[in-house]
Amino acid sequence: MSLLDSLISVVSSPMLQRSLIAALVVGLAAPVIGTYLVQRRLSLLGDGVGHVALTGVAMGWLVGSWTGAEPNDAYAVLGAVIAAVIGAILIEVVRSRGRTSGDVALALLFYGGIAGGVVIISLAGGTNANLTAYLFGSLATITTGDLVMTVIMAAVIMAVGIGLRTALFAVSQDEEFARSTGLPVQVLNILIAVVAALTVTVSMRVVGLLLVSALMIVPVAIAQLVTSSFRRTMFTAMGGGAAVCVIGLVITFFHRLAPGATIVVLAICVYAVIAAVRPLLGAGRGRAADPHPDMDDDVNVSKAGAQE
Amino acid sequence: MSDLISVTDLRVDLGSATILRGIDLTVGEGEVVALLGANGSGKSTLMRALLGLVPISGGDASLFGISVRNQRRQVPWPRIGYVPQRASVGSGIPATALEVVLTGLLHDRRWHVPRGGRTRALDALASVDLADRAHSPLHQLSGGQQQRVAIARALVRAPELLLLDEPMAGVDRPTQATFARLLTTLQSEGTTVGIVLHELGPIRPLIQRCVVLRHGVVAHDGGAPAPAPGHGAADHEHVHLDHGRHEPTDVREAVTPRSLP
Repeated sequence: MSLLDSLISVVSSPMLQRSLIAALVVGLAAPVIGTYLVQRRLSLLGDGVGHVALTGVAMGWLVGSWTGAEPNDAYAVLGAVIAAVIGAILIEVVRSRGRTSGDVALALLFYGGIAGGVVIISLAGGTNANLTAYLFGSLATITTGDLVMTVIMAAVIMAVGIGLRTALFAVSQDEEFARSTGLPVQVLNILIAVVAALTVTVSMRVVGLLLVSALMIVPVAIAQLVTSSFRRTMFTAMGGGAAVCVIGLVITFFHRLAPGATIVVLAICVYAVIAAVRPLLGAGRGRAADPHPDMDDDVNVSKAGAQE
Repeated sequence: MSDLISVTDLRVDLGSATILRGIDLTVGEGEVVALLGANGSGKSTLMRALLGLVPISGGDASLFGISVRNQRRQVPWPRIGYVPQRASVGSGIPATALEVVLTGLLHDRRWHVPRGGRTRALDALASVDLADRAHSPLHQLSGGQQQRVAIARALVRAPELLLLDEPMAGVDRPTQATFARLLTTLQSEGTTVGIVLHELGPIRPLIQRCVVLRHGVVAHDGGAPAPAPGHGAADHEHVHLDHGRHEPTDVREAVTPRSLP
């Protein structure tokens, strides 16, 4: 009974309601763009953008302290959005130029983003403690205004990511062919980068910049263990993302745990369990179906030993 | 008969190396042309330059009378189908053959699968004998089947000009047979076809015209040339161990000096 009582108290608390809705919405939206990133082998783009966004947060803080804004992090999210978009486009430009230098360029962005954020926040008269909320998430302090913003941004992400699914899949799956069809590949690539940047900033609230990428990538990693098509991978990942976000958050209502980290640990546990169980489930199926394609032999064998 | 492909004094440099120079070539409507040449002779690069996938440094190439170099946006891309050399399997996200073929329905002004697109994609898969594999993830298909998916992805566009880059390299016999049959059908329907090939092999009777590249220049343009000694035997399987490795198929490889002959 006590569990039910606590659940009722949770549902009746506006603060917890807000955080639950935010977790649900972000859990749904983050894997949408994560699916394209995994397809493009850019799983770490979210991390790079997250690090750069920290500089944006600090910049916003600095502008806030100059203009005497109340509260002084009023521009932090705006700064994060701008920095994340610029960072994502930079990474995309580096990627499209060839991979050799891209690796180092990504590393520079990672370190530059974090170091820049810490230096600028001290310039702004803040401390590293002020950054913690952005680094590890701050679901508990979400206001109604924040929630509305989160829902709008998540809606934009899902509209682009699901609405332009075939085109975005085309450029992620085979860029060379996509260019030959006349699709504006560069525009679509930048669109993916920009939507990824928006995803990073919208997820910042829930799990924090350091763990943003996990919310985008781990549900996709879970989904691709059990699916066989791109479309189903995306929708399974969305469902899985929403489920781990909500369940992870509910766990923290009953135990004193950090919500962002709990969500990510839960997601990775789900991945581990499914990865471990899958061979057992697949074993029966695998034996029934011959995994080899039906092919004629390339050589002439005297006895018909193998079937077809 | 109008020229679908027109190339004048084309020059392509990748990095510091000149891959193609002084290429002149016209292909008229309904022609089936094979582009032959040794590894590294520039035949793939010529096809990719035609499609605007590698930058043109000199001269010009036109498709349907429109310059690929200067008016790339005006080129009627929906009328062109392309089958790249290596069908990309993509990464960890599984994608079905059908999903891949559906991407062939897109072009510069169409970013969505049109009404009836699914049926067209299934028909295209059936035309390469893969109707039963439509919902199989690509990574579960053999190399030859993946190549056929790439061909179906180009065919679903119902192209007037079909360009294929080494469609026969290292594929199994069913794929070769499917391809030869398909080529006959396309020819009878009046589709213009350009094929980059290593050697003519089983499709020799279907090819009226061969363009042979050697060291980045056109060495022959006309009827099918006799195979080099040792390459002519009927049972000769022309897939070298190093196949494709010496051909500068993209910029990254081409700027590395050791990838050049």
